[in-house]
Amino acid sequence: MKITITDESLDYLAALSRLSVPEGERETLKRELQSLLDYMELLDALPETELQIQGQGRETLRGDEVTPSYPVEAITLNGAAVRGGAFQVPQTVE
Amino acid sequence: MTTALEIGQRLQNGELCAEELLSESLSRVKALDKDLNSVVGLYEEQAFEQARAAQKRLDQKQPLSALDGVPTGLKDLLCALGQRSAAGSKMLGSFVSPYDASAVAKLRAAGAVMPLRLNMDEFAMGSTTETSFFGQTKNPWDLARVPGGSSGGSAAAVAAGLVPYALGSDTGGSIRQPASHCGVTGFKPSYGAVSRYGLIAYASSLDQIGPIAPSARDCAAVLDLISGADPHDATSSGLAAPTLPALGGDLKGLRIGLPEECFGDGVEHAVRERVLAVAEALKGLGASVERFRLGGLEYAVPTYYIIACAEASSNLSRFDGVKYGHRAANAPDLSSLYVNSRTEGFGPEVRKRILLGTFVLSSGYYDAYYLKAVKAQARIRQSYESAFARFDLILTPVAPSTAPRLGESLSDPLKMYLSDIFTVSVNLAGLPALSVPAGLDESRLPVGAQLIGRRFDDKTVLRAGDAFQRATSFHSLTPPIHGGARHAS
Amino acid sequence: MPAEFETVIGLEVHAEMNTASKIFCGCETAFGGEPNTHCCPVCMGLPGALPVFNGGVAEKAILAGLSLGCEITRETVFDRKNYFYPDLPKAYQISQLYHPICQGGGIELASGRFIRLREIHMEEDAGKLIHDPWTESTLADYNRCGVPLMEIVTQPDLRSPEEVIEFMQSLKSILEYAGVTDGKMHEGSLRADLNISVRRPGEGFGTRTEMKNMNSFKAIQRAVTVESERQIALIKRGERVLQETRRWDDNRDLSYPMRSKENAQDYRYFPEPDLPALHIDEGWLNEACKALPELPKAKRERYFAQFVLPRHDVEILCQTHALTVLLERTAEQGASPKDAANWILSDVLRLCREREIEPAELQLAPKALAEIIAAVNGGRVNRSGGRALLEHVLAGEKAVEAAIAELGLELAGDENALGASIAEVLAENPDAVANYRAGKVKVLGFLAGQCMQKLKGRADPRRVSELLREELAK
Repeated sequence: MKITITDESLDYLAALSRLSVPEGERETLKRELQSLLDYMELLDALPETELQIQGQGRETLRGDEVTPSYPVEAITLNGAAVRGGAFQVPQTVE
Repeated sequence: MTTALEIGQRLQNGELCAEELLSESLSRVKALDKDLNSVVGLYEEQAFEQARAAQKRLDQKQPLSALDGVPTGLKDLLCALGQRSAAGSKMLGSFVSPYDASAVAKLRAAGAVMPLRLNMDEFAMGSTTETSFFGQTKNPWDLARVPGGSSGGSAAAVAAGLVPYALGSDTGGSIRQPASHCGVTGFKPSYGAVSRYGLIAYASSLDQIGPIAPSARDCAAVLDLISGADPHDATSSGLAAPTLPALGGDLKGLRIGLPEECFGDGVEHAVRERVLAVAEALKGLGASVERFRLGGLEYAVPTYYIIACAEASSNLSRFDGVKYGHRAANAPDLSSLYVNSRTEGFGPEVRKRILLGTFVLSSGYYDAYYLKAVKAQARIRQSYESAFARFDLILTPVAPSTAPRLGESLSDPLKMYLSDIFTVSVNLAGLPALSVPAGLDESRLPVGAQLIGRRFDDKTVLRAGDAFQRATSFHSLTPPIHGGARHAS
Repeated sequence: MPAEFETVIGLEVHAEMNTASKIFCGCETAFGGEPNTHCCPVCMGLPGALPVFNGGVAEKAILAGLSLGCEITRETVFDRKNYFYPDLPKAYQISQLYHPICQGGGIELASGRFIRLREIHMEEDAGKLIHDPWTESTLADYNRCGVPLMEIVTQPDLRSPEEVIEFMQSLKSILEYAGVTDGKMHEGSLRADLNISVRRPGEGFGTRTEMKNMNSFKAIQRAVTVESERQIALIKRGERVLQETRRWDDNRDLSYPMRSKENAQDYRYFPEPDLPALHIDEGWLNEACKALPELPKAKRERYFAQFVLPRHDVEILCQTHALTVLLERTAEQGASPKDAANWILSDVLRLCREREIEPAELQLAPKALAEIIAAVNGGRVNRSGGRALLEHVLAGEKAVEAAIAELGLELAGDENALGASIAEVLAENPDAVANYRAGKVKVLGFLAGQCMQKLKGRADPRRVSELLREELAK
């Protein structure tokens, strides 16, 4: 599949990934992504196959048992902004 | 080079003392690591406590394991309680883990002393340990060269004798390739042999934790300590039996295959020679060696990068500054908080792979890229299955060349990715693989040979590696930085 | 005359499953608790943490599927749904897209119309966001993160607000009967996303809007009504309905479009690599079929036939699983089902309404109810005394016996006391007596009331009347 990485596609990917691309890196990034994707065209040579799903049985599952939770201090230990045990972020709008 | 097991033995028969051993290790770190930059975290106090506790047990002849009291280093990708676990990244530069990875907990329970956290490519994305936020690690054999990656710090530390063994992780060759470039032994267990709980995830379906040490025998001992089905990891199944007891004897009846695709023009002359010499040595031990065509290898690198980047792009989404990790200052709204924290916290290679992964999963491209890669992965598995109908082990080089110079690889990313060609297919198939030192090239740089086994047949791989090492001494070669004998030998 | 427009509604219902622990870790699912006190590395998404699937969730999802007539998928797979929001610590939700655990099935409405389900899938709940007015910021609490959810998706078969409510009540009832959810809607354990569109009969589907997280029947009814009216009005004016997500404001009885985060979200679904696919074999299915409890329809038929209760009473009783449990267990303790039913339909339901709780939350021991019924039937306590006992028992006070004594409810079974008070009353009210004997039988009530007063209410009114009649007949 021939794909071209444009400025629009780069911006779209960056937005989806919550990343920004510094101006100076844009061209290099577009070029590198392009060459990687071109390289991946190799896979087009593969014939179509069906994938089989092989599941594991119920004996591999965890039982419905409560185990002790971590103390709130451990959970919030590395939080940059914690208030009343909860993680603070700028106000979400809906 | 003194092996970890030998040191463990000397501790147990009283020749060595755990605290002294630790002090020696720390002095070597102070003396050598300013040139190597393999250590990114030092926990002296914790370690001395562990050493003292170990010595008590040793005095009472009640060691917890063959490695009780032996100091070790953890790749920075492993979460350890109370230790900064940063994955080589600014994003986690202040992250102190509130829990132990299961493998780390098992080492703790075996009496391991853990003073060091070892450098790595950021979030395990790299083959040179040049992308770490904490600076690049140098190869002890030539400080102008890379140690390999992403477990470059672990391999360099063992090669330079800072610690007798270390834990690394391997997603596309990250244990085997640095082991090869640094002249030490590294083992990637079968996928599922060792729990991934607490290993900061790069590519969930490919990652495995494994040992880097002076010998295959050491690797077997460490593997036996850290492997096992873990209720915290639904993809873990452990191994049917310990591997150390399976070592010994010759290799009569063992059938070894040499894939012709791995010995062609793309491989440096010295590398090819050294690995073929390994084949001869194995023959001498009773194995039969035969060339064959593996098939499917040409798809390995693109398949690997699609699957790994896809999974990584999702695994790294949790780093958003909200609960832990780097948070951008003065973000006016939620959107900026996310974008700025992540862009500031991640280096360029990580950001590139996230974008690539996002692309191959995105609507409209999922079938053409991700799904296609998964099907290619099935094809690669089949190639190996056919091969293992005829052979018990497959022997290949670890990398097409010896250690590149610093700065060389990052300028040609595609070439860098392609150098993973011999290692990535192993992760795609979930197979066990060992990298053993096979001698030096004309520049006195180490060459590594890779032994690949059937899924969950880790013991056969280690047995062959150990037999090879009992008959040769490449694994005892030490780099110039070593400055003579290590430890009290 | 056919309506000019037809409303088309599809639902995505989220039901919290009542397992003890979360779907991918062992933290408790219990409601409440200080922020982030029911969390662990897994449910708060620490680096290196991995999900491990709770088998109890699969069991309940299978039961739910069977009770709704679904086909159970033999190889079911979890998928990651990727998006960024502060209530989602991993920035992906583990859900199911490609191979959900149940497919098909449906519910038949009273009218005979069958509402088809498309699928049921399992997923983890997100955390809760609270607005902090002091700092004008949002606070994230991950206690609810990882609570197991079933998402039940219907085909767009519903055609009116009444049908939606009936479907939801029926669904809630069936899920409670199957034992997979507790249906406490005010705690958020059952929520619905509404997909609403309108069309002229015979046309294809119109553009639909979505209203998320509706958790009261009243709000759902209003929202469907108001939204279809809004869309019809738009179309009649020649305007187009925009595909959007709207928020329902119950106070103002209207909806408004939500600020769009992204227009079309690309969730980049892919199979969850940390969880193996689940194989559901024949043996497990058979076990589940056998474990399926009596469902609402069957129970209604049985109650009607066995207990000889009016159909209307049976409908009300069977709508709420907790009531049927109370009835059957009270009957096991010796009460007659008819008596138990009467008490439940009258006083028990009244108390639930007064306290604004669901029957499932009522702390009433069946043994206690049986004892109260026995005491009243046996004439030890009268009906209003029985009601007092009920209140007393619910307040968490001890046994019925002790309460009878403490509250002094024991009726004067002593015929002498009764006889004495009757004699007094007759003596004090000669005119009334005369009127009664002259044929004004209604006077009996007055006289009985006087006796009850003298006895301070501690008498069985029926016995008092009986004895009065006997005396007056002399």
